[in-house]
Amino acid sequence: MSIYTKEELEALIDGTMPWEKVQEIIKNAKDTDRFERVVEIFQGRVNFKERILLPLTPKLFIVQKGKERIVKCGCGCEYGDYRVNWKLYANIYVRDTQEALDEVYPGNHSLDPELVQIREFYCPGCASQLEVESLPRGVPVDFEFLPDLDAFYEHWLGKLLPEEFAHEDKTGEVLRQWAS
Amino acid sequence: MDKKVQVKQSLKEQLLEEEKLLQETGHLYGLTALELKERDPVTYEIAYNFLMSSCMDAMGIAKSISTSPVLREAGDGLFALATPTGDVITASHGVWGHLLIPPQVIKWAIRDGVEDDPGIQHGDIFEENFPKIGTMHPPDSYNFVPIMWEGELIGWGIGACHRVEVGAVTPGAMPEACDTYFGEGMAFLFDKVGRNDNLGREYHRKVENFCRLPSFWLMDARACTGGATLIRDRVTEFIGRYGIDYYKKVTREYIEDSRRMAQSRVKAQMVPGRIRKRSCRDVFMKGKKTLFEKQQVDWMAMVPWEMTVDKDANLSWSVAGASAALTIGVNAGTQSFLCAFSLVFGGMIAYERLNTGAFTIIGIKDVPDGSWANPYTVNPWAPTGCSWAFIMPSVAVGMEAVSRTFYARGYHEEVLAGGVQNGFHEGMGTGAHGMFTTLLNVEGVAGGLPGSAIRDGEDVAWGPYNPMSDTGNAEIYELMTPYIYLGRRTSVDTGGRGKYRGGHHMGSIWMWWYGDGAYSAADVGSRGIIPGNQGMFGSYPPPVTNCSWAKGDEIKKLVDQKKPLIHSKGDPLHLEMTKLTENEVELRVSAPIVLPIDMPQYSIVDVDYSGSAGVGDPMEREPALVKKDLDKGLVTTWAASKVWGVNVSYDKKKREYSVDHQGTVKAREELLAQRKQRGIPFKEWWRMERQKVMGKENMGEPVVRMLKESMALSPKYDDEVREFWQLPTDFTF
Repeated sequence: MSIYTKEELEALIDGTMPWEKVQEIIKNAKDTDRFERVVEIFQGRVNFKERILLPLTPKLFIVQKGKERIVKCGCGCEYGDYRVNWKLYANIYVRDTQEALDEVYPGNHSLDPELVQIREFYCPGCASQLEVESLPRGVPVDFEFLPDLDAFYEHWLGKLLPEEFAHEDKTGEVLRQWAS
Repeated sequence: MDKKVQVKQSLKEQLLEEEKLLQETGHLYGLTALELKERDPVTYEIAYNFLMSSCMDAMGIAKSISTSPVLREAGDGLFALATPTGDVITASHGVWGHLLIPPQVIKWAIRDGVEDDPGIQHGDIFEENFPKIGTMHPPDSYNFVPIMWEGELIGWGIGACHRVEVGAVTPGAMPEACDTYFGEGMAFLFDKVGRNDNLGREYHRKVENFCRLPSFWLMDARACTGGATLIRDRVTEFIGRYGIDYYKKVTREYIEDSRRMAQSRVKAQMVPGRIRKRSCRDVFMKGKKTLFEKQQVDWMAMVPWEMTVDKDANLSWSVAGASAALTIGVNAGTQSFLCAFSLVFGGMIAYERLNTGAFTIIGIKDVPDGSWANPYTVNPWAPTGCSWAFIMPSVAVGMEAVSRTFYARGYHEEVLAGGVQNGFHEGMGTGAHGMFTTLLNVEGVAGGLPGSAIRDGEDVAWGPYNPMSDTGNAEIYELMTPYIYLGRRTSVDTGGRGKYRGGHHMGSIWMWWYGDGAYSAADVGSRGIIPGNQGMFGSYPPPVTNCSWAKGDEIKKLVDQKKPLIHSKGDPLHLEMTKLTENEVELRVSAPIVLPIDMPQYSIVDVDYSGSAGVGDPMEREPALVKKDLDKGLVTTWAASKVWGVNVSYDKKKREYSVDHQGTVKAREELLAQRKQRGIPFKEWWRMERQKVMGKENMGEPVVRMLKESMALSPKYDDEVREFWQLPTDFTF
């Protein structure tokens, strides 16, 4: 049920809605068409025409490109199959020296490069900082969210996507190719 | 026609029947329809609110009985009504972590034969605080009062609160020093501690002799029992109004209703799929005082969170990758994760009715034997005195992981980027009244609210533990602790740095005032060495926390000479503590501190509580928000410039900052250019990094040990690490 105007939802997304109004929204029953309406707003803002299937982050979207479903940045930069961790196609800068760590965590907050890396993932297109990880060397990068898109559309939204994809993590396939 | 639970059965039979009905029908108690709700929804709701308000009243009365600031000031308690087999029907406000414990405890007691020995009678009082059965940690003690009707057990009134002193090997509430649970204080294993509504003499003898502050424990027991008894009496009133048959049926409908609501909520707000987030954390003990030599280890531990949401809105949770159990009391049992679930999901899936039905949609799998998350399989006496140590980081990454699905669904207002992770600090010595005192100061429960997808997190306002978080009054703590407050204020630069920053936390400066004493720090997910892997969509994680102290005569001299002391931490580059005395300051000491450190009178501790995570690319932060933080003294000009790319100038006359907009545009262009210059394709980094990982290059020994343990304990995680780095089959860390 649409209970908020497009302008209200845009203000919510942009963080410009007065807090009192946000509190009302939090307390109210959820508007059941929120997903479709937010996707519509994002669709009007991104720098590409492909249909957005799911927003992953403020910058990254899973989109339908021909028969494929890929991750795409709002700037238009493409990251490949949504079942492969998009970070494999990002640019990365890893703070793993004392000097680089001190630039972000100075003084009494300083960190030991033998114990932690600060991994910054940038969009190769617009250089937005997409995610930051704080993990020791050797710990695989996080693949935070692998949605089951077909189950979502069919069973939760009551809609069918053009083609069914197996719900599986395909990151390993790419890494095997890289190692060979 | 629904199958019905035969209430004249024994408790063991009831339990088995309920399990069978759930398995056969997929509905709790076999309730395929909610007849009473459908027939008369208004009475159904009025009746529910009668029972819920009874629990709320119980909490209110208990807070006025207790003498402990932990319950009185910070509200660390919960009051609940449960079915005969322990399922919670409704509960008060308070610490939600207590919600899922009673079912574990009561079901354990039923299986253990409590009905036959010692038996259950009207007026009995039972108590439980043993983590192996089902408590987070020993200070969380639960009192259970049976509710009888014509000789039949029809439910339990329950009162829980965090006690301030448990009689462990070390003074205080959160014992972590032992390598087994034998030194972790008084243990009650659903003991019958009272009859005829009176806590018994045996109970008093035990508490008075095996606890350093028996009056606090006993008053808390009275508070919990008093609240639970009030619930019992209100149920009698309820039955007088609605009848026993209605009570029995409607209370089970409330729980099944909650299960259905939870599934409905998940379907309405989340997205099916796999959500995963791993965080590592430090428990560094080398060089600190420990009970045993074997505890002189710097541990790095893996805290994984993986949850699968299926098409039917059932949740399946895995902790594959958890590293090995530790030989200090920071391990957790599976029961502890139930607390984590109630904290992560309570606000979402148990919103309409705070009961345990909602949580039956969560299944647990992949909990590696011998890990900190399942220590009893290899050490039946595993120490868990402060199991928050790993549960709180788990809650923090869990909240973030779940929030990612809220964001994907468009509910940006529901996003929370994780939570705070702290040490909690205990002072020991002589209190204001001249008597021995030891007290866990729980002011840190009101932490920084995490940033969301639409706004900054508030400062000193929130805790994942308790929707009504309160720091409590410093003046009340001063009455019951050996120290006085020299200051208490938000800590500078401690929120996660993103477009929307995480809430700052606070720091307190304490001075031991009434005599010599001691100090220790319990571990509630403390971050002293590495930051948690927290922060969504490009935000930097909040920094580590560091405490420091100064002790000795020098401070006394400053007091005598009426020279300035300190009242805040300062900022990371300019610590106030360093100004105090040049000789006896210890800086950067992080929790846990498991054995108390001597603190002569006038010693000062600078207590540091962490901030919360932020959301979004810091370069997108509105400059006006940075100015606002600068004006409030919450962030430094260093952070404004280096992290957020905001150039400012300070007007001494107006005592406020102003944004140099042109300079800011330029600064941000420079930061963007730096990213473009230093960022390399992931594939290029991965190839170089793979070689370094295989060569264990620049990997600290704690890190290598953690990976070795996690892979050995969990074949699933072993596969993941090998696949990610494409490691040869014979490679080991």
